[in-house]
Amino acid sequence: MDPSTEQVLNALSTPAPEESSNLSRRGFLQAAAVTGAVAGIPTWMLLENSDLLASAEAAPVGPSDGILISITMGGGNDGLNTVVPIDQGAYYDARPRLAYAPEDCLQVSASHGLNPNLGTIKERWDMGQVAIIDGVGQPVDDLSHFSSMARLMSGRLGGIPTSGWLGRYLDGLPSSVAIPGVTLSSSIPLHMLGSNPRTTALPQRRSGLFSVSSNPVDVRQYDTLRSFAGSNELGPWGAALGGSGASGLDLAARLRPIYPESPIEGRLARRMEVIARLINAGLGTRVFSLIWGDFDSHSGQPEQHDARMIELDAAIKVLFDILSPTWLDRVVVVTQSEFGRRVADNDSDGTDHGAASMAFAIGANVIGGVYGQRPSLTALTRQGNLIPTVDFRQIQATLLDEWLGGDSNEILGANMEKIPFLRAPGTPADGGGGTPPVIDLEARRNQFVRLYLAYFLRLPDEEGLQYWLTVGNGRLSLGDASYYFTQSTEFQNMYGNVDDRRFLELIYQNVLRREPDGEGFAYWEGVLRDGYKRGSLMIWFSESEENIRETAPMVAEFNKNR
Amino acid sequence: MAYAPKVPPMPSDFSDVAHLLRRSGFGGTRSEIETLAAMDWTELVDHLLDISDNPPVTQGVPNLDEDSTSWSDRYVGMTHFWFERARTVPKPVQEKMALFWHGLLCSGLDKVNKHYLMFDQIQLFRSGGMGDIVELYQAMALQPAMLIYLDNKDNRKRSPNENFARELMELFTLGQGHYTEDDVQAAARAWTGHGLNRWDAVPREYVFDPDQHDNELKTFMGITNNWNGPEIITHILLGPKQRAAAEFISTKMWSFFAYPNPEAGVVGDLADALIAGGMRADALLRAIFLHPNFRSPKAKNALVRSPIEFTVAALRHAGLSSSDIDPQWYVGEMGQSMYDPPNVSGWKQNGYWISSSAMWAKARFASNLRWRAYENELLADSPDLEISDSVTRALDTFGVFDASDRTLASLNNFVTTERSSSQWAEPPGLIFLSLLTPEFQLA
Repeated sequence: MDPSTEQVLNALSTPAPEESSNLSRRGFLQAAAVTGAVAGIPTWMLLENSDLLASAEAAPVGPSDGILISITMGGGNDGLNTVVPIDQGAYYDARPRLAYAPEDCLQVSASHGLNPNLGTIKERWDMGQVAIIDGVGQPVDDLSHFSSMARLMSGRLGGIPTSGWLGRYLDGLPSSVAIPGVTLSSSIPLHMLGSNPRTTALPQRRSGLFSVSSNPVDVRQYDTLRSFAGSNELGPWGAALGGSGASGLDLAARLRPIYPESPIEGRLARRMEVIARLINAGLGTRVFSLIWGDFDSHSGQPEQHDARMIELDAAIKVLFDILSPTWLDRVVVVTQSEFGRRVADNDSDGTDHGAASMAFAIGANVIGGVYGQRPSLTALTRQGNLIPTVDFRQIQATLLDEWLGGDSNEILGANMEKIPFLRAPGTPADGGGGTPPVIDLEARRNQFVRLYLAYFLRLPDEEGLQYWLTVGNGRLSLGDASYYFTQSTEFQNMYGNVDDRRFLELIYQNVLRREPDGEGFAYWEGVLRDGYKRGSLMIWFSESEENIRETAPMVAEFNKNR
Repeated sequence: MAYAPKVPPMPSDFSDVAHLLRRSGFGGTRSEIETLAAMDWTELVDHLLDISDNPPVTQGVPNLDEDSTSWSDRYVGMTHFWFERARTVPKPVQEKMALFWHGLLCSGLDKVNKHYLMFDQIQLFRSGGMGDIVELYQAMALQPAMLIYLDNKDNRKRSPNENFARELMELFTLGQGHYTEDDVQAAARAWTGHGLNRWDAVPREYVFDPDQHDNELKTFMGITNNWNGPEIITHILLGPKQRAAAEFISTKMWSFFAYPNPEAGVVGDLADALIAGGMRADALLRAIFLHPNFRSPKAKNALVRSPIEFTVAALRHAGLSSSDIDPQWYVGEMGQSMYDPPNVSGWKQNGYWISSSAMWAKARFASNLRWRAYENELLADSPDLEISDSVTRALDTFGVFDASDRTLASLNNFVTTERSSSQWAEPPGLIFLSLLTPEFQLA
């Protein structure tokens, strides 16, 4: 494999779990079966699952299984300052102290501007990977954090709930899935709660994991603990408890190397880093939960809300920096909050509890765009709140049916209209009408060869090229590939420390192999100023008519020798 | 040196007595069991249910004053109070019943947000949890903790809030199928006006506001009347629905003390006893412990100890106190935060307590406990005993008297290996492992 690809892959990869380095998965399971324990599988499930060995092989996430990262914004996120209605005078009138001017926002349309701190989300928007769902709220006129959050998490409207929408979904997964749900919190939040403990609460840092000590005194005790497994003298629960020691120790040992040694900073990003690495490790987890806040900005909103936006953006960046391309088209991030905030600001530079807010869905299989309907900023509720146009359960139903393979009617106890913001997990873009696209494999190959030339100023080696052409079932988009290439050491060494002007000069020289022309240079400078990322520019340069023409002989020569 | 306990023939079977002590309390020692086995079963059950020799519930109550203590101080105080009573009172069934009611008539600190209100609720379950169930429910309904947790404080004439009225029937007394939505609405109206004093008052107290009470006629379970909240409870528990309520409560209590999903025959027997006993909780408890199925093979090993039960049993057998080890943080990690059930339906059972995160928390707890107990020289003379005696004695110490062959073989193997490696680690190792045997983790 050629060095550049290797470097990129190193940057992306998670160390393999220790066990698997010298033991294949099947070998591991067979070894585990002998001791009566299987790593990470709640042992009580063994009771109902006689063909565990066969199904455990199939337990990891399948090629068309979706993974959901659910981000819950606690306290009530101000949707209006997350995606700003830049064309609405009423917004500016109502918020003299808190409004974001259109020119400060990252504009995604003439009517919508992202909060200035959401640069990464803007970048994903430009790649067509962000859905903004407008007007999300609850069909109940109640502004209590507790009951609003309870409804959001339960996915049901009445009473104090006893289980959550994701917990009920996880209940329905086959018991062979090792840790189907993961929450990065100290306890299991309501939305992950079902009839069975399918969600594992994992710590934010490696130090919080159960430490499988290597001290010989402890090791001898662990060995004994493992040997409790496999007895049937104590009934089913005794057997489950007997096996729980071994499975707990195995899972802890498996998780340890997945956790980063030196976690990155950032309250949300640190946890997202763990999630990305867990996904890369392929443990079979389908739902991850992140809850964070505080969004309850009754006063001092500018500092508080900006800090949250910076945290959100950093977490999205970390996810896509670390997530292996293998998983791109099977991961979606969705943000939800129990409610939004009042349209008018209060006298403390804050906003009080509101009704409708908005949601983001971000991922390679999100169909980018604005969904739902922006509530009127003038026709408000009695308290001065936005009237919801989208029931939060519509998002949940969409995720359950279109992404997770669940049954929203059963799980939500309601038949909700779905919102078409997702392509099915593992399906390629540009399919149209549910049919796979006709991909011109030769043209795609040539695009990737040119991207190599543009980034690394040389032709690829066949092995490296094949990696990128086949990863993610051969569906990695050029944009996503470009995003990964920007993280390579070669690219960073070449362009990491230069400003936009210098970057442009360099890529004119390196990619197009000529001096910039004044008009073109000014145009591209403007594009960068508007917030488009260098990865996008690289594609536009690489796929420019000029570059295709100029590199055609090299590409043809390369293909001849394949 | 040999460790060879002899069990003389007794009126009550040793393993039955051990089972009863685990279920009615948090487990007994060999000598306790031997002493109690001298009684016949009925005498023994009545003895264990006689809580008159427990210290008064007001003894040693924690300071929960919000001005002079921190949040954490208050939580530590109120949890230690419970752990200490549970592990030390002569008749721990009182504490077990408080835990039962805490998981049935749920309120949670997360929403109630005042330590003293949650503490008061458990004190009610402690002092009244074995008495007249009607009185208990009446008192529970008017305590601030419940008025806050299920929103009855916001239940007003013009905007009735159905939360408490619904859960009272669905989760506390009858279960679905025994009432209609109209009954819920009528009951909610009956409870209007039963609220709290001002939000900033200290302490928060129950207040009836006649202006907020709906004085109109309401039709509840077919009877049209000017119903008032407390009459709803009386009607459910003593009226035409009494049988259904008695069966509901019997099922809950049997599941907690014996095994889940009791047979209809068992439920019928218990409901008979509960009604005949004037709806007293101790009459039902007595019927449970005297029921032949309570001592049946099906009942033994049928329950996983909840984290609180597991932790109290560990402290009790190891002779350690809450301040030695702060069990309140561990039980939360194991999935059972004291005074804070996950939601109004309380904690579930068995499989609910078995997960990787729970196992890690138990192992951390056992790991910590082994060093505390080791400092106190628990099992210190193990290395002087024969290998199998060392194992039996360790298990005995933790109330495990009939270990499986697998467990015995594992521990024998452990001691054998330990003696050829580092002898000092045998006692702490046996403490750690005894706590994590499946036998100890079962109730």
